[in-house]
Amino acid sequence: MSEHGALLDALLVRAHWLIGGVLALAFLATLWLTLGRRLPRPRHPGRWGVLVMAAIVLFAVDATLAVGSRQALGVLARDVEADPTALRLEINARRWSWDVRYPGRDGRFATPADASPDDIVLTNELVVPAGAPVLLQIAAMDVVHAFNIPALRIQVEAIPGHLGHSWFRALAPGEHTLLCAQHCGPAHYRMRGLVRVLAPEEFAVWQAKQQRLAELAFDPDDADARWGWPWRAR
Amino acid sequence: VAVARALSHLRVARVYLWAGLVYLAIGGGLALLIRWQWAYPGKPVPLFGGLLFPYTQGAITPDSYQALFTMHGLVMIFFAVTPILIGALSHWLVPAMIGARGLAYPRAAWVGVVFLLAAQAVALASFFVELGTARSGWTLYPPLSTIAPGHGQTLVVAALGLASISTVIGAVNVLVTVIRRRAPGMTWGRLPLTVWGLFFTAVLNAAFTPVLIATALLLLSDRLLGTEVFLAGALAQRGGGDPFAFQHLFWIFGHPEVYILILPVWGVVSDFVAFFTRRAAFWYRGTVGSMLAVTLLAGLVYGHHIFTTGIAPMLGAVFETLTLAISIPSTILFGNWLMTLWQGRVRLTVPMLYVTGVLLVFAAGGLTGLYLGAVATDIVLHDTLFVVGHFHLTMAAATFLGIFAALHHWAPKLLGCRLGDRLGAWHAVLTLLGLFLVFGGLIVAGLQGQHRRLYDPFVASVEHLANRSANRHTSFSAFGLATVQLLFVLNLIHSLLTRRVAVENPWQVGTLEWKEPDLEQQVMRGPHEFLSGDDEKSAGKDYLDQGEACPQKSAPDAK
Repeated sequence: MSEHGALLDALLVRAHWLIGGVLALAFLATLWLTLGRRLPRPRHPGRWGVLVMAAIVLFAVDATLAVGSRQALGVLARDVEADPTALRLEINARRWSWDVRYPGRDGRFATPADASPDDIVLTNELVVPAGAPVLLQIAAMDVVHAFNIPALRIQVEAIPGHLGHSWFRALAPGEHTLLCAQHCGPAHYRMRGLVRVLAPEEFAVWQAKQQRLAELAFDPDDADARWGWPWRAR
Repeated sequence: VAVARALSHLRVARVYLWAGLVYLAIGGGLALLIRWQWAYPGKPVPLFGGLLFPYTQGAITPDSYQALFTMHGLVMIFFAVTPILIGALSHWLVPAMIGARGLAYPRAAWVGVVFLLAAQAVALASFFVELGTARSGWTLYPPLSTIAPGHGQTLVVAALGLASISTVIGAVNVLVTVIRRRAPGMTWGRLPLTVWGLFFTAVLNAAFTPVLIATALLLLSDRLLGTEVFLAGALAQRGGGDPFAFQHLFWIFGHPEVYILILPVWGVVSDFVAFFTRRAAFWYRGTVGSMLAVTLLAGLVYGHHIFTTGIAPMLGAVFETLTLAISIPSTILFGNWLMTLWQGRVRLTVPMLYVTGVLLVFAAGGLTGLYLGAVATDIVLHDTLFVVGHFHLTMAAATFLGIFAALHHWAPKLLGCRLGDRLGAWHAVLTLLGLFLVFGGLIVAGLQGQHRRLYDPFVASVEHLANRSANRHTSFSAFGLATVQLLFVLNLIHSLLTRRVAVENPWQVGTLEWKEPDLEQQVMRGPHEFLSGDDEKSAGKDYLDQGEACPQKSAPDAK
């Protein structure tokens, strides 16, 4: 679970109770008024009162959703750029895989114009530390995709020509599915990756090892490996 | 006389009706193939499999699967529900119910028919060209829809353009007819609520369907002329444009479209609850006002379709507020139906059974929409089957039941024969049950995290995002629901063959479509005024015709 995800889930539970309750009332009222012809009816129904009450109840449901929505999104709107523990990642979506780029020691992403010899690049795998904010810059190469980690409650569309931004903080180590949530062609259903949330110290070990491997594997002539973009704060 | 007959709006309506019913069957068939795939991914389709997918011995491939869900959506919306609910109902009912001699533009109505039939033919042809039909999803997002190979995608986009032209012609015709051709005395406050529903639908169609036509033209230009209006990224060779602009354009049309489809049903339901409780509709002005409010809000809420695209948080909050606000007029509308029912004893006729079904599925469909109207809960549910279940409850379940209610009610005029009540009642009850099982199944699957548009939802993953046996149960419910539709087909065929003669005004209601057209028509009162007690005894009936002179004793205020 992620920090904002816990709030979304709490709101979802509240919504289930409220909306479920209203739905049950609507069902009962409809069935009673159409089928229950022999049931007793109040002599003076006070119909206007019922109508006003129904509108008030719906307004209360709306307000709960809107307020809860603001609260949960407040987390996502927080500026975490300055957090020293933040991990910055670039995601490149293309049919039918996910490329993930870590900036490496120099903190810069390799771009077509500027090779940065220490970037870690993974395919269909995302490794992040628990507890630290993970900032995402999301792009698509060919068609529209959507970066979606259901378990962490994060979903951002990847649209060619646009850079999507978001962030999340995974609360606990674990393994989750990364999938594409926008139809992108016949193999859309297979466009999946693995998200590994590691304990911070474990992540540090992993990152150091990957760093060494990335520097060894760096090829200055490989233009394809330099699909990154300059980091853009939201 | 022959010309007048040939131009008759009833004939226009009948063509729309039959054209729509045929494509309803096609769209339903496509849905069953999707459901088969989710029950038994990759297994050959029984019975017709070999015929439909000869190269794979009947198995659905990932590629043809895309075509199935793309065309299921497009066929149902543009070539089935729109022709029946809007084409057939508005072309006949609007002039008949307002006491007009005919449509304002009878010839234009036939032009609309021609465009629709051409659109349907082109869409059908797309299945048979090399590489098959469209496969970009019904939302046609570029660049996927731009790079889709073959002529199928092109033909389908062109067909949408043609169908939209038909829709706009029809909408303008309805608007002018309602505004200019009402019989003397048919004031705005005396219009049957069905006419109000069809009128507001025409307003939205005239305003927003042209956006779809323009968008379809731009997409065709990208496909055929090599412009890059909606291309960016690696596919753009000459600078490119912006694929995201398409999403805005599409949903500016696409969201009003859901109200376009539901407003006629709201109108029909509002009238029927009055007809079958023998009471005037509770708070007529409130019902019309709610429909007006929804019509006005319809164009201002499309942003909730693009909550997850990274639109500015401020925009998200505005679209969220406006979207949630729609629940208030919807509640008043729904409340008015219940209050109307509360006033009297319900006659459970077959149309009323269908209408009860509409109330139930619309309550479920409307309330599940709240989850998707709030940005936070939408992030969790976006693109899951929850969304699919939600919009099927409103756009499919409610419209289907509304269509069946209307067909059963108006068959004596629309088809020239009465539909059987016994078969109709069974069809209503079993269809309602099936709709809840199928679309409820989608809602539950979505809450479990199953995404939409997946060829094989059960691909191994860390989380358990799709339940195989639950999917199979829902699929079999869908097969059952389809089988139950044979009751309707049977009823229709039997009634047409035996020409089951209709009694005059079988439902004993006062709206004008039941009377012979009368040029001297003077409208005296609202659409649902009923008598009771001594008035009823002296009149020998319990309703007042809208055009009938006042009975001796003034009608009781039917409030």
